[in-house]
Amino acid sequence: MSLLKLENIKKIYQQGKIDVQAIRGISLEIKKSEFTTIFGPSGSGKTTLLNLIGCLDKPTSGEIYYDGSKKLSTLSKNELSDFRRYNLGFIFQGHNLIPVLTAFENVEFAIRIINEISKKERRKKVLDILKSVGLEGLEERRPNELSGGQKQRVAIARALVKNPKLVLADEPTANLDSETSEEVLDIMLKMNQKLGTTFIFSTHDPQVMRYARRLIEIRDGKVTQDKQGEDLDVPH
Amino acid sequence: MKKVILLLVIFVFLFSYSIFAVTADEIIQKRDDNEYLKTARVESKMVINNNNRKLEKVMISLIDGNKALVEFTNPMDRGTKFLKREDNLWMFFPDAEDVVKLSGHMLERGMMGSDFSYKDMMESEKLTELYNFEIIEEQEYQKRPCYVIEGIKKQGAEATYYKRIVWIDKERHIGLKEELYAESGKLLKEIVVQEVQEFDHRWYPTKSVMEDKLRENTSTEFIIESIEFNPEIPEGTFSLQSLQ
Amino acid sequence: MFLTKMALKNLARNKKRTIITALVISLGIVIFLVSDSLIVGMEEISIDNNINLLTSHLQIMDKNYWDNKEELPLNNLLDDNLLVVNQIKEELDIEKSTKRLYFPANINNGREEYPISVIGVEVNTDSEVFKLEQYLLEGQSLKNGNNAVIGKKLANLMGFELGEYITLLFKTKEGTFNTIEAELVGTLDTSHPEINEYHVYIPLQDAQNALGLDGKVSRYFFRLEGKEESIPVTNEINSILNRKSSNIKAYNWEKLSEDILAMTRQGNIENLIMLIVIIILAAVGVINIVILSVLERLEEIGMMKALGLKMREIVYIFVIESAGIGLLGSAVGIIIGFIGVYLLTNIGIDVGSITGGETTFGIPIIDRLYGGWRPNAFIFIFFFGIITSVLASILPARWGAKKDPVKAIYHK
Ligand SMILES: Nc1ncnc2c1ncn2[C@@H]1O[C@H](COP(=O)(O)OP(=O)(O)O)[C@@H](O)[C@H]1O
Ligand SMILES: [Mg+2]
Repeated sequence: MSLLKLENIKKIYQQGKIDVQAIRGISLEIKKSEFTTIFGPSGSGKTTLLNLIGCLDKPTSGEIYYDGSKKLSTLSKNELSDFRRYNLGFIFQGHNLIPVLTAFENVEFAIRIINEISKKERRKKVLDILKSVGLEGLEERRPNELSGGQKQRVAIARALVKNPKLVLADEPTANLDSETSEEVLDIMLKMNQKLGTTFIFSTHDPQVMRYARRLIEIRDGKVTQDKQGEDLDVPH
Repeated sequence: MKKVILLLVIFVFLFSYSIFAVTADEIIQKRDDNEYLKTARVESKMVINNNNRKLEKVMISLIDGNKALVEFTNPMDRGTKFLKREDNLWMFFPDAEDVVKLSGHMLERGMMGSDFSYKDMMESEKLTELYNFEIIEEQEYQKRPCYVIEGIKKQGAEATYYKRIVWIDKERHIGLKEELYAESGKLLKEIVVQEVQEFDHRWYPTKSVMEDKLRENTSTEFIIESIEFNPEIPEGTFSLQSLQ
Repeated sequence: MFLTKMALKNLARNKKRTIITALVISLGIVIFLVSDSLIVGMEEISIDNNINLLTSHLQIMDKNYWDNKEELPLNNLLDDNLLVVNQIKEELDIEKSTKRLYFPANINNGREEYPISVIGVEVNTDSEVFKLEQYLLEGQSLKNGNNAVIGKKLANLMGFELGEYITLLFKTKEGTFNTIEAELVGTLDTSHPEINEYHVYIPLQDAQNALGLDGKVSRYFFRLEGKEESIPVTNEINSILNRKSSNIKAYNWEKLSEDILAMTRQGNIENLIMLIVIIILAAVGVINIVILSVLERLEEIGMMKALGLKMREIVYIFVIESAGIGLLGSAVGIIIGFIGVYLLTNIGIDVGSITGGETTFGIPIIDRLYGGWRPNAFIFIFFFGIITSVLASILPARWGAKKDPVKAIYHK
């Protein structure tokens, strides 16, 4: 089942008088529950691509479809906000937690703004997700009382708590040491398997490539490789 | 002879006197009749002395019965005009190009900065109706035989001065000196004739000085430079339009 | 609610900055409250002065006199021993009253004339109602006989010394000139330019004689226990007068001091200036703090947008945060202001030392100025502080919320 379809996406940034072609025509399809890794060197267009998929930015040309039919280009700013609010989870390079809120509250934030479930249910949901990312007992800590890995786990919990259709993670391990990186990726993989959440995450670190279930390599804004299953040459 | 000034400057007119006046009244009436100009064109000058400052105002007056038009011709006031018709007084200021009717408090001010108030000029009732006159003395004044007549305001009469004493030339019927008093007995104003001249078998004061006795070193001289009797006065001279 | 809570929590994020901004607002509010209190205090003084020097608590006069009272006319006068006045005094238990006869005149020093108002006062009762004596600068107060008391400024203007005779030139009701010569026995220096420059006080008898108005006065004046009483007492007197269907009417001090009330309006202009100062202080503080916060929290703003917050929700967070600062500043300002006003009303400030004894406030007799209370000012300024903060925050908050989420997140 196709969750997401990109059709000949191009993105050109205007930098002064120079046009920077960050994405030069990418078409791809992501299925539900896929765990996709976007791999490429720095400057290859990973972040730009994820922003386009996360509808934080609009492509210069091409179209993005969700659920087979929904055209992103037809949505207004407010509709895009709503779309993100209900359907997408983000994990950023920096954790981007709100410093005045506790771990619990930071996670709660994502569903508080949806406001569909009771306080009790919400509480249970937040505690469950925090537990499953291994933060049981740390719920009341503020971001500055958590380690880098713990913070990123809070960010993962925040992205997952609303059961989004898709989680986008732009180099989630870039600021972490290799041990913590592995922990974080393990959790993401675990959640993908447990909840069936669709993940797309980017990295430039070949170390991380072994977590890939589907690997899309981009260079200079173009897909150079798209492999999955047996085709993957990295051992699991 | 204060009247003269008044007449000439702002044209106060007394007429139709009772024939059956008592002696003092008769003398007053004769003086007023004598000094009354029926129809005339008068060129005159007013010199206002205030301490060491001296202001000269030159004017031409056209008089016809109880109507008069005065126009100032000295540089400072050139074009300023007064129009008197019966009891009404209008003024035209060339700078403001505006006609103003003077009334109420404005009439109490000194006219053009002189010691005469507008009200002084406007007094149009017969003096003998306002005052009880009495001859108090016969005296030589300015080497002329004179009656000294005192007028006391009649009870209830609305007169500006409570008492007035006049020196009237027995033969020429002109007032040579007049003193004006407040009710308290204080001398307020004094008018003295300094020069007289005969026109047409009629003696006329041509230079007089008025002093405000409450203010030191101020006086107003009034000098008649020429009188033309029965001049030609164009129609419409005394209309409001002629002010502008 | 959640956003509100979060916004308020944000207040604690940079405590120093929050506190400084709030204190700036507090400062403005304290300045406003203190100056308002002083204005109220000065108003109070000028109203009291006006009552003590010009209007008394209430007056009665002929209705037709009232219409032309500025001209000090000599018609529509009252008898100086009106029965109904005694009746009113007895019925309402008023002890202190006096009567005056006003007329216009020119004062003359032998060189020049100057238009003034002459007030014939009943020598033995005037001081029961009016406090002119307190303002006597030199000499003594008015006594019976040919004497006069005038304002110091007028005396200087005309060059009169104590013991000299002043000349008043005026017209009687019949339009006839009369003069009064009276010995100058005292000069006044009051807070009223009108009195200092234009008033000449002489004994009532002299005025009546010179005007030929024996037994006539312009108005009666009453002193009550306090100025609050003047409205009810005026109403009672008017109902007594109405019963007698007379042409006489009572007027209270407020009706008589429309010029003073105009001055009060001037006080309000001072308040307006204070308000503008507060707006500027608060607005600059708040705009500054919102801009700094936006710049500091760009990533956070981007993240919140990514999470699906709409622009207006982000604006809301900043606005609530500013409202919190406004609330804090207003509350602190109100508390400090309350203390300040309390001190002002109870201890006052030493005006004498500020102005070196001779004040130009026009309040020469007092040397301490006391503030006054105006509870409405507190309520008003409290909300004013908050609303100003909220309004000031909207534009910079919109600026922050408009930031492109991508750039906001990756701004480093
Ligand atoms: N906002 C921008 N304005 C101009 N150029 C940009 C902007 N964002 C990215 N780029 C350019 O687009 C290309 C792709 O960048 P990016 O997507 O950030 O790559 P990656 O995330 O793989 O490092 C780079 O050349 C980068 O300089
Ligand atoms: Mg990147």
